[in-house]
Amino acid sequence: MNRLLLVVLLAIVGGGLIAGFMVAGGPGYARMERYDNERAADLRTLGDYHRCLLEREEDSEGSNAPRYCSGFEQAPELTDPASGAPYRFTRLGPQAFKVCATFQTEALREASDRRYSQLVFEGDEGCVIYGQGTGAEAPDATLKWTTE
Amino acid sequence: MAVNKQLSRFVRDALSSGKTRAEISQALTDSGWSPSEVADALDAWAETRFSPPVPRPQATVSARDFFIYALTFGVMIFGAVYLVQLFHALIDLWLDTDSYRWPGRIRWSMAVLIVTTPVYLWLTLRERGKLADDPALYRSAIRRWLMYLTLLLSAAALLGDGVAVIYAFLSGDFTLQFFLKALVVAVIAGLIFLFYLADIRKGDAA
Repeated sequence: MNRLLLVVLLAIVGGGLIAGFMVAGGPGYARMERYDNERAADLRTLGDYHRCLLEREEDSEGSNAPRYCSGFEQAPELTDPASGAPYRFTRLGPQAFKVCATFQTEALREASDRRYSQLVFEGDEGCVIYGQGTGAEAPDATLKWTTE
Repeated sequence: MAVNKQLSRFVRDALSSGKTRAEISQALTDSGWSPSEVADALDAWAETRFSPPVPRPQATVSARDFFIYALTFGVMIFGAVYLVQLFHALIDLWLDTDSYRWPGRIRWSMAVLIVTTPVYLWLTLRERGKLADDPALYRSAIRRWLMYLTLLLSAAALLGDGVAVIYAFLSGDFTLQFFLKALVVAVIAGLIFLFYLADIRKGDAA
């Protein structure tokens, strides 16, 4: 009886660990997820920085810079955590841009349709997109942030 | 059960003076001792004609027992809590697709189980071997206390689980996700309860 119960408990632990590895992945996958989270944070920071640049371009005297722009006097020195390559910045129009990176896992892509996500995905590429683009390549419905 | 010192001394003196067990039992019952107290007091002395009376083995307490059994039961309870958490996280991932998928909870539970399971298994199998070699170890008071403590905790988990299920049912929140989580708690707590209940019975029989 006792031996059987011990075997059943061990089987449950073993099953849980196998399921855990299948769902959460191994150390390599965990590292890629961490890099992806860093990329997402970097893109948000760069998005804030470029948003402030646009604000400053509009207000050439710089006297009415929004409060959230303090600390963005210089461009943040951020690069892809895995490759060290710079993030891809594209101007979509006079008041629109996107900052993009290539993501390695599905985790953030799956979460991208949620309200708190600020990323828009197209394949492996995830972008922070700001403003209503006016150019031909500007997406129509990617206004994830709007000026208040 | 621990026997009252005065009672134990009385039984020893009575046996030494040649009184029979029936006479001692009658005297104690007439004085107001309950049948279980009388039986325990008499069971503390071996049924032999040897004089003075020969005490039966008593429960033992040692620092070594405390270390081994506190470690075994601590590791088991810690592992059981995270085994439940692991399955709850897996159920959430499977059924709650609206929440952000955060595998850190799964990885932490896995880390706890990868450490605690082999340690628990090694300590338990080692103890089983020692108990088989020397049944006197069944008399460890610390072992018995910790086993009863484990029974208490697993019974409390089962009761709490039952209350949560009824409450969720009455509140209209009895979802598949909730049912599976409650089932995980019931299965793990139930297996631990049965495992140590069987152990206690085996120890009593030894």
